[in-house]
Amino acid sequence: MGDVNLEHVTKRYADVTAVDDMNLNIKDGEFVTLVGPSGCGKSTTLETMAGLTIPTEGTITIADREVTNLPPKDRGIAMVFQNIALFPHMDVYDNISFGLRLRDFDKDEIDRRVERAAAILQIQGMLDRMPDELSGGQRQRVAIGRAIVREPEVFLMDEPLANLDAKLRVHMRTELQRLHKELETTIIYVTHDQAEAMTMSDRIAVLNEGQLQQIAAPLTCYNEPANRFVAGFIGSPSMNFLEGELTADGITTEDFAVEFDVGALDGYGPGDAVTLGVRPEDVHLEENAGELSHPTAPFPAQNDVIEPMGDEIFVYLIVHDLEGGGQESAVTERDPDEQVLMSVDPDTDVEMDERVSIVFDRSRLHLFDTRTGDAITHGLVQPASGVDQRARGAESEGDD
Amino acid sequence: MVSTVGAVYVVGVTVLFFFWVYGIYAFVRDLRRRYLPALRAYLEQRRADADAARAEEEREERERQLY
Repeated sequence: MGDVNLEHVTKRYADVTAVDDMNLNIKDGEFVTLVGPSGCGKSTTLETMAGLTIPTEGTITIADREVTNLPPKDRGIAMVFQNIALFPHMDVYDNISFGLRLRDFDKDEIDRRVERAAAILQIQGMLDRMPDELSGGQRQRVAIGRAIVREPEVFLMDEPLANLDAKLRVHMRTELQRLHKELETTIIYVTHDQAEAMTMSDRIAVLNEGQLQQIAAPLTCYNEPANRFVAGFIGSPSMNFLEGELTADGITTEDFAVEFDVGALDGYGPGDAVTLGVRPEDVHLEENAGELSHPTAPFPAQNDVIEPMGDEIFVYLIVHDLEGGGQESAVTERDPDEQVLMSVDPDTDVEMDERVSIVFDRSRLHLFDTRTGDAITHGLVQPASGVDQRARGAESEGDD
Repeated sequence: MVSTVGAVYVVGVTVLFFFWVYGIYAFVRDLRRRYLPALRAYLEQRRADADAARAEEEREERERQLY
């Protein structure tokens, strides 16, 4: 049973807290990814599980056995490192079987395990090659093979694909998923690449400044982020954030308003500072609003920068301080923090500096507490008849 | 009456005495301000290097347990 439990694990260095009161409960056979920016404590957390670092406080349990102070060899785990670290003077067979020979396994058993790992990783024909005769991907497979032959309860992987090129990394992602399906062993994986985390994991644990922000299925983190950090970190390109304030009728920002039932929010009311979050794919041109079941009222914007990506176009919109209420005119301010990124279909006709009307998908809007960053609600669909007054006002000004 | 030779002798000995004393003073000063701190720093660095090497070795040994 490869359950892994961390209870109140804290790791402090002289004046830095690398991991702060971490609680994780990872079930047998799960693929869990620890993800976060550099320095967030994800590798330190993994190292406490591996026994490379002893936590300052807290307990670690692997397979129902407390291992907090046990050396790595007694924890029933194997680890794949970012720096592949194969022994250069040993061939592939010797590298893979190193751990088994260290533990005095008999020759037949070593042969059986190495052959099985080589078959899983499709490196059967390379067992007599030296590491310098292998490509980066092959070397990484050998390192994974070295972990597989141990038949551990838990695999720990610390950014194993970070040193590979982009194409190989994508390929190795699918290989790792296939490996997990085949072995059905618990895998705890560390990466700073949220695409890796989203595509491979059963659950992802998002970390920041040593603290666990959210642990949930990838799509839950994407659709229902627990706070602004998770919302901004998960998803590429990142979510747009617009500062505003709650009113009796909804939320109002400097540039537009969205009406909804504020009374339905627990513990929040008019005057509270909130942040509206909207993902680029949930920003639409007004002409496409008919496809949405819950569009907001349109409000004016101006195309700033256009980035054709092939399968979609990213349009950076200026929404702040547009003069003339929708008429062609100068933009007074171009603060990148006040731009809204919109993702549209590649066949959409968009021009640089063009004035457009945009709508948001109300069901996909997120509301965060500006002070704490905590999520307040996801989806602002009520009331369906809500009219965005300021946007309407801007439109009528434009009509004059 | 002090002869010329005697005066030269006294002045010479005084000058020599001055540099002898200054030499001792300068040596003690350099010992305190330069040589001892440098020796202390060298020993500390050696100890730190040895600690780092031991920590690195222990880390490698632990990592090998995970292969």
